[in-house]
Amino acid sequence: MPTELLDPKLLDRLRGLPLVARRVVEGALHGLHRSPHQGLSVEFVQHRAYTPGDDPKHLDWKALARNDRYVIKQYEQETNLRAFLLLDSSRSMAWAGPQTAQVPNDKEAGGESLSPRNLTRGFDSDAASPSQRPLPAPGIDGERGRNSKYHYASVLAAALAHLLITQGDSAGLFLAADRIVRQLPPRATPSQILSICRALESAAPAGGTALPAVINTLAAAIKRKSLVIVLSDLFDDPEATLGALGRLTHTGHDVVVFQVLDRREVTFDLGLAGRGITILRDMETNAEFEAEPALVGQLVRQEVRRFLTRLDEGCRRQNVHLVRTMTDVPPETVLTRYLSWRTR
Amino acid sequence: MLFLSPLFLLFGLAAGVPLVLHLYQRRNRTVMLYSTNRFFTQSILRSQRRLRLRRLILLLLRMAACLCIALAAAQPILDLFGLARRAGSRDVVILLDDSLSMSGPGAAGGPTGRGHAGASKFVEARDMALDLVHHLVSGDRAALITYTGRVYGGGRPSQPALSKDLAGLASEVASLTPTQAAGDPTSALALAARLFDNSPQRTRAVIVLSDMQDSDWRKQPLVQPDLPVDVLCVPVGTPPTAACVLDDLELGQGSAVVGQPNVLTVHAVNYGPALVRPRLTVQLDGKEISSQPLTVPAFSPAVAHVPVIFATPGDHRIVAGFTGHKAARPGGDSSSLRSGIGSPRSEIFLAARAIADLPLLLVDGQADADTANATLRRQAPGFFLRAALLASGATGEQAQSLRPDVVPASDLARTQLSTYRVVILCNVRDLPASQVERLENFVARGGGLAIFMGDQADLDFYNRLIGSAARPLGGLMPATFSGPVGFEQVGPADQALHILTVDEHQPALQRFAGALRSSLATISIYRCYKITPRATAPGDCWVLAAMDRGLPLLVEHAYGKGRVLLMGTAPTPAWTNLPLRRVFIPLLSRLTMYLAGGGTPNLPVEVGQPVDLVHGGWDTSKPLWVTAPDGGRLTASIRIEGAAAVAYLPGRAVAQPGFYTVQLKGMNVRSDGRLDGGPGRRPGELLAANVPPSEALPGVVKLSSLQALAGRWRLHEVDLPRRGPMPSLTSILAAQTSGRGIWDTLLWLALAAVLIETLVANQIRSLRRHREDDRQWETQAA
Repeated sequence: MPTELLDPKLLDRLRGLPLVARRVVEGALHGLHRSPHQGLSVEFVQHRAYTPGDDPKHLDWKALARNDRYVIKQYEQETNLRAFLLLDSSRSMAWAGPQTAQVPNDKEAGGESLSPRNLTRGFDSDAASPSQRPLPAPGIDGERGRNSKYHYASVLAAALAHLLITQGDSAGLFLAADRIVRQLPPRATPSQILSICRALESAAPAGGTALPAVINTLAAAIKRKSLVIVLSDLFDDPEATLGALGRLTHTGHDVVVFQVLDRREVTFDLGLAGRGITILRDMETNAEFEAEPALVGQLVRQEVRRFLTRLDEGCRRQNVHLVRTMTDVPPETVLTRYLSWRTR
Repeated sequence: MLFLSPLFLLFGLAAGVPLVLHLYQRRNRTVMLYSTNRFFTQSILRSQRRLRLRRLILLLLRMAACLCIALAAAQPILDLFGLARRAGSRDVVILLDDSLSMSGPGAAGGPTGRGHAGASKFVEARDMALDLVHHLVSGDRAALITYTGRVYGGGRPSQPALSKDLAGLASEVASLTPTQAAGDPTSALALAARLFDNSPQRTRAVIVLSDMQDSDWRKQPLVQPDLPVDVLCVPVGTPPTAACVLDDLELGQGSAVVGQPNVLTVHAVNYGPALVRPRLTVQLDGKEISSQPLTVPAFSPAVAHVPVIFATPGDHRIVAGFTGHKAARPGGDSSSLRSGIGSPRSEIFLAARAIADLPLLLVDGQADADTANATLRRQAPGFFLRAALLASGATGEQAQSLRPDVVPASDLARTQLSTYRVVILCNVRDLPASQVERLENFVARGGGLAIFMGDQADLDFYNRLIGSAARPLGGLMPATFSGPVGFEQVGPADQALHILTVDEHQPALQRFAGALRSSLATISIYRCYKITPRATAPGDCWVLAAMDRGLPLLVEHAYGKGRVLLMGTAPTPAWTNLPLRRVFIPLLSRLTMYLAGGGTPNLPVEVGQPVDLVHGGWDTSKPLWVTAPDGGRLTASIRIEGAAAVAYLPGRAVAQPGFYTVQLKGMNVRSDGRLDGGPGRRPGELLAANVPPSEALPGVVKLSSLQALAGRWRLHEVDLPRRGPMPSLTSILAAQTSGRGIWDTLLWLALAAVLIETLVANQIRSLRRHREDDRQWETQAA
C-alpha cells in the first residue's frame, strides 16, 4: 500500500487487537459489535410477553408448553461499526517545535501584538488571512513535518482506519479546522483505507481552530450511533469543546479523543535560555506575544497544567475516553496500550 | 560643577553598555512561531509587565552605578563652602609655608610635569596665594601670614589686621621669598584666628598652603580660637623626601684645648627604607681632615667619630657633610645625595673655640701632711693625679696645655677660683662652709669639679654639707655615701671589682667604646665607697661607669652651668690599679676637658630662630655687626638684661645656614676668617646656624591627627588633582569641603545600586529555578 502513514511494523503490532465499541452501535452489516436491534442471531437475550401483531414464528413454544404463557424469544443482533475519524487540521497542528521566523514589519506581516483584546479575538477570528495560508503537508516538509502534531495524528488516524476496516467495520474521515474541510463517508471497503491515507497526506494544516463547532456539525450529521474518534490538540475553548463532546455522547455515540501534543508545549521549554526577549507568534491568529520564555515559563506551565486538568475532568464526566499523547511517543505504543485497555 | 579629574568622566560611558545591550537585545529579538498563545493569559501579561519593569529598574541601576562611580572618580566639586558665595563679605587669611622644606621641588618636578618647570613648592604655593587674592573682590578682607611669622595685610606690625587693600596685598605676596627656617604653623594659625572679628555677616576661612611636613605641626598643640574657623589645608607639592641626613655634630669634650686630642661625634639618621653608605667629609677651617664612608641602616641612626686636634687657639669652623652615597641594595641605582633642599641636613656646621691651655686646680688633701715622707707621698692619690695631668698636658714641643696647680685644702681660701676651669678635690677631708660656697658658685657659673675620694675623706662632710639638698641648687655631690663606715673594703686582689658598664654616649667616655673598652675592663678596684646616685630630676645625674653588682664607680651631676664628677675610689694603687694603667692618663685628660667645657657650651643656633648672645664684653655704645654666611652684614641690637649685655639677633636675620660672625664696629676680619678684635679687645662671637632638624624629617601630617587637637576648628584637607591641568585653586577651594561629601555620596549610591541590582537580579533569576516540580508533572503527564 503506497502510503507513508501506514507503517507495517505499526500494523503488525495492532494485529489481533480489535477496536470494539463500548456502546451499542447501529450498522447495516453483521459485525463484532452489539446492535440495538434484536433479530436473527444466535445470541439469546431475553423473553418478552407476546403482544398482538408479533410474528408468531418468534413464539417460544417450549415455554408455552411449560408455562402456558405466550412469550417471544429475543436475540441480540451483532452489527458492524461506523467510525468517524475527526482530525484537527488547524494550523496549530503543524507545530513541530520551536522554529524561528523572519522578523517582518508588523504592518507588512499584518500581525499584531498580543493584547488582552486580540488574545481572545485571535481564537474567535476566522478571517485572519495569514493563517489561511496552508503550511507544507507533513511528510513533504522534511523532518519538521514528520514531527508535527498533524503528522502524528495522521498516523494514528490511518492506523485506526486500517484497523477498523480490516475488522469489517466502516470508517470515515473528517478533516476540520475552523470548519470541515474534507470528509470521506464511512465505508468498509479496503479501498477506503487508501482513500483516507491519501486524504490525510494531501491535506495540509491551515486555518484556525473551531473544534466545538465542527463536532456539533458532525453530531448533527451522524444519524446512527457510531464511534467518533477525535484527533486534535484541543487548543480551543475547553468548555465549548467539552460541551460538543458531551452532545456526542448524549446522542449515543462512542467518543474517543486522542489529544496530540508536543512535549515542549507542555513544558514550554523552547530552548531559548539566554536569548532574552522572544516574540511568540500564534500560528493560527498571528497574534504576537513578546516575552522572555525563561521568565514566564513557569506561569505558562501552570496555565497549561490547568487547561489539561480541565479537559481530563470534563472528559471523565462526559464518559469520553481522552487519550493524551506526545509526539515523541511512538504511535504504536499509544494505540496498543489504549486498545488493550479498551478490550478488557 | 567642576571636575577635578574630568578624564574619569570617560568611565561614564560604561553606563551606556547596559543600555546598548538592552537595546541590542530588543532590536535582535527572536520571532518564533508557536502553536497557540491561548495560555498567555492576563495574569501572565501582568507578570510580564512586572518583569519588564524589574528589568528596566535593573538597567537603570546598572547605569546609575556606572555613572556614580565615574562621577565619584572625576571628583566633582560644588560651590558649597562659601568662598564663592557672599562675595564682598569674606575674610580670608592665607597661611603660607615659607619654611625650608618648601624650597623643595614642586609638582613640576614630580611625575606630572605640571606647572612651571623647576618651580619650587614655595613658588607654587605663592602662585596659589596670588590666585586667591586676585579672586577676592571689593569688600573682602584678607591677610597673609607666613610660617615664620611674617604678616602681610593691614594694621600695625604689632597689631596686624585684615586688609581691604587687595592689590597691595597681592604685590606683597608676589615679592615673597622662602626662608631656610623651620615653620611654626600652630602659631600662625593662632595669629590668623585672632584676625577675625565677631561679625556674623562675614565668611571666614583660613587657607593653609603648605607641604604639610609632619614636624612643623607637632611642636605645640593647636590653640583654640574664640570663633569657629574653617581651615582648609592645601598640600602643595610632593612630601619631603626621606633621606639620610646629619642630625647632630658635637665635640667629644666640652672644651677644646689646643694640642689635646678631641673627638668630633657626627650623628646621622637614615629616614629611608634602604641602607645607605654616604661619604662623610669633615672640614676644619676649610681644610678636609676626614673623609670616610658611613654605613647607615634603614630607619636607623648612625654615629661616626672623627679625631680632631686644634692647632691654634680661637674660633674654628667645623663643617661635616655628605658628599654622596649609593643605595646598598644589589642592583640599586646609584644616586647622589641631593644637596641643599633635598637633604637639608646633609651639611652641618659647628663653631668650636679652642683654648691654649686649661688651668686646673688640684686640691690635694695630703699635700701639706707629711711632706717629708716622699715614699708616702708617692702613694697618695694626689701624686698620681698630678702626674697624670702633667703627662696628658705634655704635647710635644707645644706648651703645657693642662696646667695643674696643686694646693693643699687649707690654701683653697687663698686661691682665686675664677682663674681655673676645673677644680679637683683629691682626698680632701673636709672644707669650711665658706669654701664650699665658693665651690658652688664656681661650678654654677660653668666650672668643673671633680671629686676623688681617699683615706682622709670625711664621708659625713660630703654627705651633709657638700651633698646637702638644702644647699643652693641642691648640693654639689652627685651621690651620697651609704653605710656606717663610709666605705667598704672589698677584699683581696683576686676578689677585686671590675668596670662592667660604661656610658659610651658620654662625650668623655666615647673614646673608650669599641676596641678601647677592654682598657677599662682590665681595671681592678680593690677598695671603693659604696655610693648611691642622688634621686634628683631626670637627666640631672648619670652613672658613667659601674662595677660588679651594679655598684656605681663614676657619677656625673649637672650643677648650674657646670658639672661635677665623683669617683667612688681613690687613684692610688692601694685602692685600684687604675693609676698604673696607661688608660689613666687619657681618661683623666678627657674627664678634665669635659668638665672644663661646662661654661662654654656650643650655642645651638637654628635658622629662623632669634639668638641672644650674652657676653660680658659688649660695649653697648657701639653697634654690633653680624656677618651672614653669604657675606651680608646685619646690625644686631644690644640690650641690658641684669648685669649682662645681651646682643639680640632676630630670627629673620638668621635666614641661612652657615657661620655668623658677630663683632663690634671697628673689628677686622682676618684673611683666615677669624676675627681680630685688636689689642685689648675681645674678638667677636662665631655662631654656627644649622637648618632646624625638623625640616629634615620626612612625612606628612595626617589631618585626622590634627583634627583631634583642633577642637572647634573645622579642618578640611584639599585634594589637588594629581594629574591633568591644574584648575584654579579658587575654584577648588570654593567647594572642596563639599566635594568630598559628594564623592562619598556617589560612591555610596553606586554601592547601593549594585546591592539593589543584585537583589532584583536574584528575584528574576529565581523565576527560572522552578523546574523540579515541573519535571515531575511532565513525567506524570507523559
